[in-house]
Amino acid sequence: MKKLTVIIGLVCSGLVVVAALVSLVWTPFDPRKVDGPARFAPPGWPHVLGTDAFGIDTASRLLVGAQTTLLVGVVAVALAAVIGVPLGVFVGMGHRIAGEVVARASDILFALPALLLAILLAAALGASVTTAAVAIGIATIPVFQRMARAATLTVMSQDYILAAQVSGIPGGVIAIRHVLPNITPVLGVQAAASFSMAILAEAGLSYLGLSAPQSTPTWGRMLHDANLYAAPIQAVIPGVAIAVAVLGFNLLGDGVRDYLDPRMKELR
Amino acid sequence: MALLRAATRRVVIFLVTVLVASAVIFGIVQALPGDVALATLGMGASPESVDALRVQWGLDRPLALRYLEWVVGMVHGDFGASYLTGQSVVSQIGPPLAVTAWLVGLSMPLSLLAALPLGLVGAMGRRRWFGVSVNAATHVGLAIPVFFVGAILTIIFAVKLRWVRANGYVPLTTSPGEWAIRLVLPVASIVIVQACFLARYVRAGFIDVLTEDYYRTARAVGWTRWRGLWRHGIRNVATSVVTVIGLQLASLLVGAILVEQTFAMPGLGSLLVQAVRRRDLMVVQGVGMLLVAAVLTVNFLVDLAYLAIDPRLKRGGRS
Repeated sequence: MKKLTVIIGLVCSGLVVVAALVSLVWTPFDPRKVDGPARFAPPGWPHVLGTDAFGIDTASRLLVGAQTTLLVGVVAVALAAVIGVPLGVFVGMGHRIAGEVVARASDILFALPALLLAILLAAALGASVTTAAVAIGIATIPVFQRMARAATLTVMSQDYILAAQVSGIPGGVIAIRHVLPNITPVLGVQAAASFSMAILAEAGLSYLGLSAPQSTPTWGRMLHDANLYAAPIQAVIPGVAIAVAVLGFNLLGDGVRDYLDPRMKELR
Repeated sequence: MALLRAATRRVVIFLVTVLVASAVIFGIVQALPGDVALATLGMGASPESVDALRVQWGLDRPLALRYLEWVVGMVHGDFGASYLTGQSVVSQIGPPLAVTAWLVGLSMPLSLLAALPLGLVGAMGRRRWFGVSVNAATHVGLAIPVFFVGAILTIIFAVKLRWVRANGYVPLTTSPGEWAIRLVLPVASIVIVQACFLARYVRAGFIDVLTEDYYRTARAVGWTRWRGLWRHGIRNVATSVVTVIGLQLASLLVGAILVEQTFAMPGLGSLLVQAVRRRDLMVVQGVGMLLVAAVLTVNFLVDLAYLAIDPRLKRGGRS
């Protein structure tokens, strides 16, 4: 059962990565070329997945869309981890006042969902992929901060930390040599989960037209542009793509977590 | 005494949090380098006309002063006026607020109602096909964006079957029947995704009970598995669901914003998106503040509720 989960996760997320890579060098058609007479073509040949309202090849747009999806996910998660993890470790290693301040700041950010934060940022800076990625990243900081803090607290209660402390090793060195390597697995699992949340948030933003500009194909935008009456299949294709990507990284994270935590393995 | 002190502390923290949140929202919307006046007039506008517009909108005054005005105004129920139309933000928020409130207000209890059986079955059959398939289904449901659920429901029930109209909104007072018909699909979309989210917490809550001694005792004295799980598990589940209710409100609001777009409903989400496109900053920060304050308030109330039920405090311990 567990193996099956991981395999499905690997296949789904692998598909997205492969699609993005392939689209860098080849797409069946130009993903931006408008072809009036070919509009709303059903799936078939030469348009494998049909065409949209402008006669643009859907398969090509789908492949290119994977790029934006992964890009936003990577940037958002990296940003959140780079800021959130050091904060969490610092607080977890025991500064009480800083801990309280960081906890309250996290509460505020938690009340600001990624999508809402991105909407606010888009109002100030204008909508773009960068705005979307940064907003989703900022909104994800508290998730990493809390996870890193909790994991750090566990590590800090170990005897080898005490041994390091009494032998006079400075806190910074302990953090890098002992704490970070021990909390990395937990953070890896969190990264996979956050990655899929970022994909979902980006899809929502581009669905609202607040991410990439019209000319850049994104899955959310494709779904928004689809005409549900004339060609419903054109809404189903990008929707399934988003779901596959999100499910893939979710399952991957779950699989790794179960592998790392034997208690969970037994119980579920 | 301890209870009173802990409650006071929470009230103070809540007020400070809301204030800081307002500063964050104002900071994002007003203090970032994007120049609204320039953006409104376009890149080709002369510097004089841009400056004139700034003066007209009051953007030339210090940031801190504008922030203070905004906050003091909000305390008095005045969210300022749109730069573009001069219309007061409160009057623009009113009608959409009703739409979004209905969406969220109906979706929250319904998704809880749907999540309970899903989680119960998922926990009970966690090593058998029906539990595993329910669990797998909630996993898949979590991965589907709410607007895609909305699109699928529209294709099935509005395009193919033609049972409902999938567009717009009619106030309850105008026509209760039309009101209900237009709300069915949007609410269903949110509920489907939200129930999958909650079902995982419910399932985990029930599974915890399965390994408890009191559950074993209940089984030993002849209770059926379902009865034991339900009677003992529901308390455990209630606690974990209450914990995530603030988080849930945040994701319900996000769901509402997206679903309003799918079904062309004139709610807060549509107002917000439209205001962002027009760069109507006062409307953006007003609606943003309202949504964030709602989430913070619910979190605060959950906190207070915990205080009321936490027996440690009654005995005078620390919170």
